[in-house]
Amino acid sequence: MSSDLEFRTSDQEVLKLLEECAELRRTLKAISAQVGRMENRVKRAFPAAAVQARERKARTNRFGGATITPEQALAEFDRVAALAASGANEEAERILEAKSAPDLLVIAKELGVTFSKSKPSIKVMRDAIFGKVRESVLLSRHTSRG
Amino acid sequence: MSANKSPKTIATINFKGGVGKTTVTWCLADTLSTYSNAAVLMFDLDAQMSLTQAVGLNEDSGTLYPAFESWYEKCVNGRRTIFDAIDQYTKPGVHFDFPIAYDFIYQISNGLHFIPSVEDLYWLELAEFFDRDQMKDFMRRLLGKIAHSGKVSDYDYVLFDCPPSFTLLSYSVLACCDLVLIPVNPDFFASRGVSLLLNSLKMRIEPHPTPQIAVFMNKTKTYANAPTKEAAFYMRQIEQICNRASKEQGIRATFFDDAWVRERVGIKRAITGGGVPPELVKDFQGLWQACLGVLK
Repeated sequence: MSSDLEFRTSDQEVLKLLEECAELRRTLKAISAQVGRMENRVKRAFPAAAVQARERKARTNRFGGATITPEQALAEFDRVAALAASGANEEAERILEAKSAPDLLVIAKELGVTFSKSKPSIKVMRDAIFGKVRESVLLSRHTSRG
Repeated sequence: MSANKSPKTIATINFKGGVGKTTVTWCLADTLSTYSNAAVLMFDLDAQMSLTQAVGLNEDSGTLYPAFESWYEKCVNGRRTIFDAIDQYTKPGVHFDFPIAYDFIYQISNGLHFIPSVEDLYWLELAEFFDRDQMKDFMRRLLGKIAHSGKVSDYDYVLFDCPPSFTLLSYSVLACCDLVLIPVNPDFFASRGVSLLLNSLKMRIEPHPTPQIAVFMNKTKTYANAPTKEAAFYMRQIEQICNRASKEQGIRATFFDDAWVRERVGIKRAITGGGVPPELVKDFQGLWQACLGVLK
């Protein structure tokens, strides 16, 4: 039996794993550098699109610049829930769609919604808030035959 | 203790199980009797007997305390249970003269007395055995007998632990009590139950007047000594439900937004373990003050 086929000891196994990790890190660094270079080339080739992308990124910088207070957030939720309860679902959805990410985050936080990510997407926040709207509507509704 | 005065009566009720009816009834009664000079009488009206077992059970040994066990045995064998009182009350052509004494009422402490449940209460679920209209006045008559017996304390407050369903006995309590106290938990299903319960109470008690109703948040999750945002969400929703029910259905439903009781793991053991945990005493004192506020 050749020595290559023998089982490694625990120490040898750890060393082997560390070598493999280091190799993987070097590979990822090379990929990252290559993606960076491609990104720069695209930006130089399409300067107008690059400016637009930068502005949009600044606009959707989600976690600062909320325009509503926690009290206003709850009042806004009540308004949306009242609209949904009256059957005006589309209008309720439109109100939420018009909200910026920081405002959505304030509303979600005030409703006690927790997210698995620290920076949830706008869609995730909107869905979570609308979930609470639906809860609110269900809580206010009952069927009475009396 | 007061004399010549009708006691204030409070029924803890919710048709949803697990919201903490039994624990709340006991904690309120214990807080009241321990931290004031009030004389309190507590009823267990649930055939599941949770409160009765909690009062009598020694958790260390898993058996009933000898004093309670021998008293309860005499009570059952001597036909002095709440079911026997109902049985006598509903017998046609028989004057209701059920004897009131301490073989019917168990003395937990000087200020806290107790009328336990009995398995026979399950029969009350079978409504055809008893007449609804006749049962309506049972609790009022029984409380009158207790107040005028001269053989037991003059009670300032009577607390009822009601079953999680609408039995004839709960109907009888609702027809005479001063306050219906509804514990609710900070989750969707418990909150949903409040809306249904308020609607149901009015329909089932009519044509008699619906008593004053108070709803409060039990098992409240807290952060920095205040309800969490999630708990606060349900508290706001329930407050809106109460306001809407008061406005649209003409009932008197109040939500205690300041008198919530925090969540505590193992609170049930407090009943058998020597009293309300210190960190919850203030919560129950606050709840009691809120109850007094609406009872005035």
